Amino acid sequence: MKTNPSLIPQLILGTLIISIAPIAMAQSELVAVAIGGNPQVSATSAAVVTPKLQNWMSPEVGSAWSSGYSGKGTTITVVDDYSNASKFSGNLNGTTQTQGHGYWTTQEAGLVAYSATINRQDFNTGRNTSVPLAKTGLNVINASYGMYVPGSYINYNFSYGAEETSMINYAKGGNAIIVKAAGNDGINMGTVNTSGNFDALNKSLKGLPTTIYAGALSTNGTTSSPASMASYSNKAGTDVTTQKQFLVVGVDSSKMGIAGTSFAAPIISGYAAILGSKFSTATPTAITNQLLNTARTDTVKNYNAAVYGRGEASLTRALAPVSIK
Amino acid sequence: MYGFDFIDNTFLVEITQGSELSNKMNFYTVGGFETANGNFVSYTPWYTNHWTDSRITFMTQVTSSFGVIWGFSTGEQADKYKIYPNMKIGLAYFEKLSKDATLSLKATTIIGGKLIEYPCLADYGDIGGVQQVNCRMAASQMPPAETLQYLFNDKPYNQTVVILEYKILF
Repeated sequence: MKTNPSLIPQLILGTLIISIAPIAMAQSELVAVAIGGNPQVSATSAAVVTPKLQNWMSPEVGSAWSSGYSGKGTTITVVDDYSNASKFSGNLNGTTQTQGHGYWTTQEAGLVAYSATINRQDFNTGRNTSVPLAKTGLNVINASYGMYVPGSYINYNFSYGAEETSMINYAKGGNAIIVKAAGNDGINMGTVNTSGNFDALNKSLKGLPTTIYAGALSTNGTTSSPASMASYSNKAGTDVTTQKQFLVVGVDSSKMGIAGTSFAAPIISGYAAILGSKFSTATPTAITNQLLNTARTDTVKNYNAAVYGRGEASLTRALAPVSIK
Repeated sequence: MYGFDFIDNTFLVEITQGSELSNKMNFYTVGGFETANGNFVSYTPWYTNHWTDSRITFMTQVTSSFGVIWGFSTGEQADKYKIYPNMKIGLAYFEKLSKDATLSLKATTIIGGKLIEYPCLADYGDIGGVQQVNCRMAASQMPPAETLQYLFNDKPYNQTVVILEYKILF
């Protein structure tokens, strides 16, 4: 398969690799390399975005937009890299832009759930800061990054800084939905990549009530034209617990100019926010289950839970009643 | 002996099947949405009427220049809406002002004839429970309770009409 060279750095950046300190004692300890600066949490007030169905979005998004409630009353916090000087080009809104990874994921989530409040937390400087939650409405945390450790520690338990610890606790307690990019190694979740590392954060979030792993399809799927997994996307794998928490969405790099499971997660985060806006009294756990339970297996090619997990996320089905009379 | 022959002085003005409100609801007989389980719910059974609203209007000429307009409509009904029957009353006045000029006045009003749309009962499962909802918006992004304000509750079109016409021939 011919590789588009321009995509390679974007794929790598799709899931950022965090260096770690040497392991001590029996329990490995994840320590991110400190870049310096003060922990930083910045809030972006609900963006004044003119809703427009972009060509990379699933048609389901447009049909769900018509009433204009898209994420109103909910908060998406995008924990990402906002400090790195590295920028890359893409097109999410009809114009080519060049910006850093965190700005891309933030923009994407805001385009899908245009009435949600979008907050940013820079993981470079916010490592020791719990991710704050809004006091009212649904909270969704988008994590389009990984925490990599050598494969020899795959059976260890990990301790994190306050940032990831808060995310794990929120997922454990059902306080917020954590949408975690699955990773771009093209491997099964929970296994070691070709560099000999694995994503510890994926493991730490496994089995928690409000964890959703986001894998990438090469395009949005339909019943007449089912989509395939993007070649780089990690797959759900053989672990049944992981399969049950794994969703896929289309990340069409030919339209977006960017690729990676980093850009699958914000779409699902947006879907969660839209659901939280409609069902404002629903718990994060109920909304997580709704997205997982209404995923479609008929819009992906040769559906297999070990590849696609629950299937392709379907916003229209998640919004719809089970029955009506 | 002078008498007024009602039958002889009453003229049929209009017989129509269908109305503006009926046409409006006819638009919703197609379409639908998928449930959370992927089953298609069609609007057709909900919005297909059992009888189309039909209207008949007469004018009874009282004098050579004055008449009374009267009539009624049958209304129509489907599972999720009802157009109530209505009565139309009015008057018509005609005066020849000169050899080449005439003045006419027609005024009518409709009593009744309202369109009322009924809600559905939707089961959203664990995420939302059972709720009343606007049938057409059950799968929208809008919270179910808020969709109820968009149920149709319309008065008849052109409920009161006054037409004053001055004609001059030259």
